[in-house]
Amino acid sequence: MTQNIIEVKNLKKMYKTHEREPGLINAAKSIFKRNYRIDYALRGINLSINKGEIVGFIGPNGAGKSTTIKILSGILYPDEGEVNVLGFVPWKERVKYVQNIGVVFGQKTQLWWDLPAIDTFELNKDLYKIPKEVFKRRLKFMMKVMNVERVIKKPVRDLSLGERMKCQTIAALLHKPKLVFLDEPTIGLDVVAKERYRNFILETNERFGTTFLITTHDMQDVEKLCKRVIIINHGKIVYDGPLKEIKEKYMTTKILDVKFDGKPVGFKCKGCIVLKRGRCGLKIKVDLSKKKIRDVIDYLIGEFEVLDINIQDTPIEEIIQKIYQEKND
Amino acid sequence: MIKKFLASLKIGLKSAVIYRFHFYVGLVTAPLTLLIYYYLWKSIYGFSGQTIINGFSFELLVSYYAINTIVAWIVYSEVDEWFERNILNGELTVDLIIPIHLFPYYFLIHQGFNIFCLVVETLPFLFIATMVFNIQLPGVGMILAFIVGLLLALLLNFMIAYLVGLGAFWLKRITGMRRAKNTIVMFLAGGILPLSFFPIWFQKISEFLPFQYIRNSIINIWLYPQSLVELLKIYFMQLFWIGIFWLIISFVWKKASKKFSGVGV
Ligand SMILES: Nc1ncnc2c1ncn2[C@@H]1O[C@H](COP(=O)(O)OP(=O)(O)OP(=O)(O)O)[C@@H](O)[C@H]1O
Ligand SMILES: [Mg+2]
Repeated sequence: MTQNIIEVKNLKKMYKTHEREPGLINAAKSIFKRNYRIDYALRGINLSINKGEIVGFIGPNGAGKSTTIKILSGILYPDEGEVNVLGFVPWKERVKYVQNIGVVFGQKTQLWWDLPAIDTFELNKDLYKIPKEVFKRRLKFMMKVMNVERVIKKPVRDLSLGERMKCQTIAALLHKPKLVFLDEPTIGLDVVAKERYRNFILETNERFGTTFLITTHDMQDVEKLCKRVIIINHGKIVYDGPLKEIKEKYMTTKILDVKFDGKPVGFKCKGCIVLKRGRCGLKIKVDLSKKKIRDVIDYLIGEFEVLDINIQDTPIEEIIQKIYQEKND
Repeated sequence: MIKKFLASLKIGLKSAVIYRFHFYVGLVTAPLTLLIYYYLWKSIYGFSGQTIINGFSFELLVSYYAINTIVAWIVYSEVDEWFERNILNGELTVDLIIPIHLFPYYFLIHQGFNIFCLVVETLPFLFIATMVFNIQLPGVGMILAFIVGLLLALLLNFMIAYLVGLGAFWLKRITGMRRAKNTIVMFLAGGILPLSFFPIWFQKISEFLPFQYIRNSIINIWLYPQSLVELLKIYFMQLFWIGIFWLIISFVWKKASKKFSGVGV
């Protein structure tokens, strides 16, 4: 049985900020006349998420991802629209509602900065009314999976970014929330830690049926975790569907960053476009529908003195552009 | 509920221990301030040739300032500063994702600080002051009455600071407003001069304002034995103003939380 646990209809939010021109005279002017600037962060968003899903919520900077998450977690009031999460209107009964969810902001820690992480865990134990035994068991399990046993007694300010992120996630998940919002949870994690982190989320999802909504700029996160992707741009949802479709239809290019020993003369390859030509390097866009990435690399290594190759996914901006193009066609 | 509250108190206490140096400083500056008042008034009394000024003997006035320090420390609140800081740096956003209302959460964290301050600062100061300046302790009954008044004063003073702090939702920077509030409250509460040094009309108005009930009236419970009626009058005014501030804070909070834009995340 599928169950909608998030239901959002026509959600709108704008921010009003007053703008200040640089300079002293303008600062003085702004005392008398204030110029307001209005940013339409969300311009009518609709979405629904089922229980047990892991949904990737992606889009370029300033698209409205964090704004959406802040509204869904009861921090912000929207200007317009209907939201129902787990039977609550998030901003109306905040305290009752947040008991059921977990939130991680990669940009801001909810851990007490000058105290060891264990103190925040214990605070949360009482705030979320977690029974002592359950608390002990879960904490032990999570610390082991995340590999943070050694650092939970150090003041949080002394932790590395990655250690802090892991502890923060533990704090947000201790009470076994049914629904978790993760806003850029993997920034600052190294490759190994990212892998552990993703496994932890997958495991939590499988064992407890926890629902996740995750924003990230790392497409690897999305590929490893999410079957479904929602893409947002300029406050509007431009895609909502399976990741597979995105990959097949829109992620049809890869970017190769190649460094050579010497100047690469005479590079020519079907299906490749040279984006940038450096003194000893090339930035190449490969059209995967015309050429296999393997073949391009074989060709490069066969014909040139290659020092290093870096392969990147299709940038999100390009995916969005292609989606728009398709809509207009 | 109780568990949530105790946990908030505990985390406040824990972080106060981290900042303990901050409190030791007060232990040095407060006796110095008291000493300044001591010599200032000693010369005023000597110069005027009077033994009683506005109903105060010199010894009583020194006691007033000593108790004033103690009351000020116990009812101390900087929650307005917390709001200003936490809104600017985004800390408030994460304080809103935990299942407790902001008012009791901040109040109890703050009391965690204050309890620590009571143990390492206020009580040692009281001890020193009673020895050095020969301050009289009131009877047991009056001490109890003093404590009740003190607790209500603490809540009332916190609420004033909380309300000023909510101003940061609109103004972002409220440093000037906070300073003005601190000075005005200190003056009107009798923190600089006992209110009986002021004109009668001023004292009459003051009786209806909240400020004297966070200091002057409480200090008086220590200094003079009070009748039951007088005590009840003080408590009533405290509760009355707590009620009023509660209404205003609830109203302003509703507007403020709508206004909040979740900066910094
Ligand atoms: N507190 C705020 N005050 C004013 N404008 C804001 C505020 N927060 C966000 N905005 C604006 O709203 C828009 C959406 O911001 P939001 O933080 O939701 O983007 P995002 O998708 O999370 O981006 P990023 O990937 O960079 O985190 C941006 O144009 C931003 O400038
Ligand atoms: Mg964001």
